[in-house]
Amino acid sequence: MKHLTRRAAVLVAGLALSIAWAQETQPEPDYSVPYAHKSSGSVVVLPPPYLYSPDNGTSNGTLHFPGREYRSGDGWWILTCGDSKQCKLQSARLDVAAHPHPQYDGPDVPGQMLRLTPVPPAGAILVFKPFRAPANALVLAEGQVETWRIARATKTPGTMEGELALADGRILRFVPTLLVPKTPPPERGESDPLALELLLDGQRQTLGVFGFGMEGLATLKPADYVRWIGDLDHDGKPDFVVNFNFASDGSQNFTLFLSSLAKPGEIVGLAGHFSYFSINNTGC
Amino acid sequence: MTVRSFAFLLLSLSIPAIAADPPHPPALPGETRTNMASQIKGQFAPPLTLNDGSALIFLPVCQTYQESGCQNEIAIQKFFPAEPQRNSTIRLTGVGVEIERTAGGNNQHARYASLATPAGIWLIGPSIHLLRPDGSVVSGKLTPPRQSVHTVALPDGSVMVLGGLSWPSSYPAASTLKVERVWLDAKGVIRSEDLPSLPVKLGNPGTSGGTFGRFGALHIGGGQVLVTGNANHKSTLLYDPAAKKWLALPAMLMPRNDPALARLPDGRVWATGGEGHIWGGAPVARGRDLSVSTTSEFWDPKQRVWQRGPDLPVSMQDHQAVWVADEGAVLLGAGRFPVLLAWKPGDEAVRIAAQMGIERRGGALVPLSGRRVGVVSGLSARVNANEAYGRRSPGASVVAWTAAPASSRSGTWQIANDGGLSVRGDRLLAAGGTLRNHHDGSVKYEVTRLAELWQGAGGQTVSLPALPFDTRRAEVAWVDEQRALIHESGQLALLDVKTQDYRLLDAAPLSRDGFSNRADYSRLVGINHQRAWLISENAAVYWLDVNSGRITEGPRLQRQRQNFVGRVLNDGRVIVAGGVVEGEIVASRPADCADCSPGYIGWGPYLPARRHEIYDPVRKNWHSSSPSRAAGGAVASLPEKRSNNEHGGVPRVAILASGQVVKAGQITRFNNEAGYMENLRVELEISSPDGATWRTLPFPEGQSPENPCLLVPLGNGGLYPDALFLGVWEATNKKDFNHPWHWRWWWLPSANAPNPVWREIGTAIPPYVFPAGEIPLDAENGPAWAMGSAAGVMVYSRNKSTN
Repeated sequence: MKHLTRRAAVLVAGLALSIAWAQETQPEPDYSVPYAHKSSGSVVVLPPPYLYSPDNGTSNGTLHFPGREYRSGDGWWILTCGDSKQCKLQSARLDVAAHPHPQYDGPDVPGQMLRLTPVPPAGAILVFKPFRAPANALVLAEGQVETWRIARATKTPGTMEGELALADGRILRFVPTLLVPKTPPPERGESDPLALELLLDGQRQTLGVFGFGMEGLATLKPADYVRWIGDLDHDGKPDFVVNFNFASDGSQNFTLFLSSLAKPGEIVGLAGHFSYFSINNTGC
Repeated sequence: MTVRSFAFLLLSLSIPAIAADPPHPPALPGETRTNMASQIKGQFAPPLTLNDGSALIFLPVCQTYQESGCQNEIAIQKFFPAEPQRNSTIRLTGVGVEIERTAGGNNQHARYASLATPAGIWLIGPSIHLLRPDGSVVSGKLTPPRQSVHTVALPDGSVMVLGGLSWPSSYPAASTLKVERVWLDAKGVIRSEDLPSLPVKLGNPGTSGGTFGRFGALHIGGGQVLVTGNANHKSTLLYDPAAKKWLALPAMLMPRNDPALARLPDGRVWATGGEGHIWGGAPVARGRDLSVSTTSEFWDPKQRVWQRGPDLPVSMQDHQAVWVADEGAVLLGAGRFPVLLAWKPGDEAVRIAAQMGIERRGGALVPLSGRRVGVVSGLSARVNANEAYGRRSPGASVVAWTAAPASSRSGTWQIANDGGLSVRGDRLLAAGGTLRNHHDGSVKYEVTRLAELWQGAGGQTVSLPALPFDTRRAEVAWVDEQRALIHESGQLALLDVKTQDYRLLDAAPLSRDGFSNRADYSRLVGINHQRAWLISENAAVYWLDVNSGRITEGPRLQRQRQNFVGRVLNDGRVIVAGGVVEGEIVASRPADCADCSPGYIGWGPYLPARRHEIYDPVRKNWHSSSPSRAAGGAVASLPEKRSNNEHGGVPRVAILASGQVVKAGQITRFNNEAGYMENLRVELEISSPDGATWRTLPFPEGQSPENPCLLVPLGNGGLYPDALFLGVWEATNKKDFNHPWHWRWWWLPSANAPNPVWREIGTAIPPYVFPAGEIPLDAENGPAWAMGSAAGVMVYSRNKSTN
């Protein structure tokens, strides 16, 4: 009996270990399932729930998504910036429960209700979890995070450009750039994409393309598209959260860039990306 | 068969004008209007022109639904446009003319065709009625009954009846391709026989909803009938009476819907205008969208081909073509616009023959002796409503016409929108623009190829040949005494006023700004020393050497600007003012060249401008003026609330020959409670010639206009170089949208006078923005006149050259 009990204990321990392992090593999202790949990258990022419209039923700090890609667990972080412009990290837990998600033009599909504890406050910038290598080597702690402010570009007035003066005197520039095709498009009037380019010391990196939805192109201030800039990975170099979506249809499209994840030829590396257009939204 | 006798009634039906409609524009000099109290409403068949200088109008006796006892009774009014005392009316009762039927709870009204043959006057629709010369009426019927048929008189006195719609009406409309021949036999009975149906496949791609409604049909001799001009089907058909069958012939060059057809003495058929559109990719369009309404083509019956004909200076739609044998000319008129065109076979150009003050679309075109023409009844547009169909034009207009280039008529350019005007000496050159079409429920601006020259000495208007391209927003500038440059959205033509020839110039560089492929509007702002300045809304500046035709790039504006006005001054300065400027600029590079250095182009938003830009010919650069208090002065929308980017706007900013900019701009204030910028009032300001300072000018006494129109003299202005003209859109009853609305105008002889006092000039009823014709000015420096449109004003005296 005692022998059996020890055996059972090993089994139970093993099982617990398996479960924990399953939680810590999230299975690869099933990209064959529609809307299954909202979060991508080595850092899983989520939008703060308060950014969602009440129509999505998420006014109580929850997020409701179609698909089955998220798992309950600890290890989540909430980046919040208050009125004093001080930003801080707070650890959090994500609980996920299955909950069908409505569709605009079809029957409900399998979905998940995500609840964060604690509930991210109104000033939350980002909810994230380092998921796999290399991001899972990040050392994070609760408390203040070094944060900088992006300023309007001084040498190019009248533009949408922003800049950050680094400690070493160099200037990091965010330059929205219109990419025009070199040859005429088949149809005149085709809109050219507006990309965000990062410039430092003659090096240039395209971070992404802005989306403006049906409302068309708009003028942006740097603070509109750089939601946060600071040092998350403690390497003395700026990391930032960039919002690429300016459509008023409730969609989300933002990216976390970490300087420590930059590959050769890059200034920053893409750490985590979230992109989602609500499937029960008419879009207009 | 039904025969009735009747008596002529020497009275005419007249219906009082409905108070809700505003007045029509007044008669132009040389235009006589008769029977203007007669509305002639409810016509159930097209008016019919007779050879005795009259037209027949077909009216229901019951003019309203409330009347009883008169349904299906008709009156035929014989209308002499030049001799109204001879007008008479025939009333037909009991002959069974079915013009109205109630079906499915709806009142339906039948549309008859009318035509004249030696047998008499035919009305053909759900029933057939022949009014014989002896006054008797014979009736018959089509099998099956139908309405909106096409009819062609055949040389044997019979009538070919083609197509039509079902009667009673059905929804959707059911079209028939049936063809019948009807005639009066020796016993006085109407007979009919079936002819082969039109070989058109309804329901095929290209047919509109299964109908074959609008087309032209014309007898071309020997009993042969030509059917053509249905844009949806594009084919040409010819009825061979000997073989009793239809032949399929080559399609028209352009997809015309309902052109006017005229048979020429040499046997050719001239097809003019009509509705239709060709996209720029078609070979005939040469890369630009083309409207068929300003084009024509000939049908050669011997070679059986269509050939391109002369272009038309104005759009012709819903019009008629009449061969005037005495003059050897074809008259085109009674279309959507109050313009008559004339062309003599052998002439290269179609000329504007006459101009009326009132539109008479669908009216009867009645050639009269002494090279006059009467246009009876017809429809005119309701220009004081956002969406409205035409209303009946009362009475008739009689005007003199000529196929010669020069005449004393009023200029058509005075009703054009967005056209170009330029003055040199005592001559005014007008080119291009659009004519406003408000006939079918929505506002459209029809392109023109308009070119006119007004010569102060003698006061003659010269109709120049049609421009070599359609125009929507054109500019024109004199190069020298003999040549002028015309520009429209990247198309350039050099006009020799003496030979009246056009030479197209290569304007390819205008389609790109040299940096990206973004196509933006460019406009010709003037010419100095044979160099034309073309400035684009994306800030690009182009120089055209008029002699060599070479285009080079000049220094770019500081900001992109839309809806601006520009002017090249005699001292070499160039000024660009008004409009909206882009608030931001953005870096830009080719998408496939990551290493390319970016340039900067405008991004937006567009904000009403407070500064203007001045080109310094010495420093060869642009600099900005000081800001005015008010913003804007854009080419503003007319009070019909269209956006600034649509055609037909009136200017609220102008540039004097001195370089002073005058602007009616908006003073705004941020409303903290509401959280937005609110408009306080419009202010009139004038800058110094160097743009360094501004001062305020008063409006005419008692006026606080919201949408003024501001004009300055074209050219050097002569005796009044710094005169101002101000138009205010006013309604006499702002609560009644249909009540008379008009422009009221004042002028200032000098904007720089110490105590400027505005003097009233008069009013203009749409489609006129500026009062029509020559306007006498109350002026100190001797007799002076003004003539203008929304594009500008010419100030002149006949005693000496003023410009």
